[in-house]
Amino acid sequence: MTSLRLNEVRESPIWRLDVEMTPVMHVARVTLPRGSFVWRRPVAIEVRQGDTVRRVRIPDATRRAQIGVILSELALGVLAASATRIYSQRRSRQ
Amino acid sequence: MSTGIGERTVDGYATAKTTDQIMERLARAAQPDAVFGQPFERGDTVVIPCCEIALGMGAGGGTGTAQAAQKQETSVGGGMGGGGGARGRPVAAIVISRGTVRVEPIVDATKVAMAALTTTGFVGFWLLRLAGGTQMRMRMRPPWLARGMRMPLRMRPFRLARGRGMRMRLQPFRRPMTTTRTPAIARRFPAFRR
Repeated sequence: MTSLRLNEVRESPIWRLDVEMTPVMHVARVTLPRGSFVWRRPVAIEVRQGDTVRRVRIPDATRRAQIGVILSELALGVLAASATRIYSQRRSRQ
Repeated sequence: MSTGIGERTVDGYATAKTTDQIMERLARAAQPDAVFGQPFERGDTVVIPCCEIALGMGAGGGTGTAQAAQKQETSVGGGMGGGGGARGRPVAAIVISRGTVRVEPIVDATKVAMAALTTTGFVGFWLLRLAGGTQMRMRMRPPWLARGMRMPLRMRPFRLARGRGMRMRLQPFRRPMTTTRTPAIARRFPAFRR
């Protein structure tokens, strides 16, 4: 009954200003016996102009910024803790 | 209103209908149209908003029987409930202009600032604990406790001590903070002596 499905879904193309675009999204679906959870995120658009098809990625700038900030601050914290420890060790030796 | 099993009253139908409506509305929020929104045109430019959608829902119910103390008959009851939530966040906007397609990312500065503040607080707290353990120990001593008195065991704070490598462990204070001078109460009552 409980299941987890992850897949990439292409929606029907959109025509605007002589450009054909196909939205692509990631869908995660968790099904529980008495509930469900669905998560949809846009991944890219496939742009068809003439005979060429180009895939334009959709970056999640907010998520990247959050992860970058958190990781850099944690790295700074670890560096500061190491520096403090080295400093205190040297001081105790003296 | 009490309902028996298999018997559906007007209230039961109303509850089921309301639950269905809520579920339907929540499911509609997670449709693909909500992820890639309706394009809107302004002159020779078309903008398509893109959102991240998360939706969760759950429901539960149950029945039970109870026998009244005075009566012989058994009454049956049941209940149900459900809940859910949907969340959307703008991710980017697709801009089509003069035959070119570009993606303009949307940055939620509030979320980034909140993440930065939370992490700064967390890292700062641990750095302070790491760097100033002795000072914190002195400050954590309750002001009402006279010098030379033994600190009650329950009130002795724990401090972070360095284990092997960078591993941290919680270590209780072994020595209470005392001075050479024993106060009068400690001289009188042995329980207050070290």
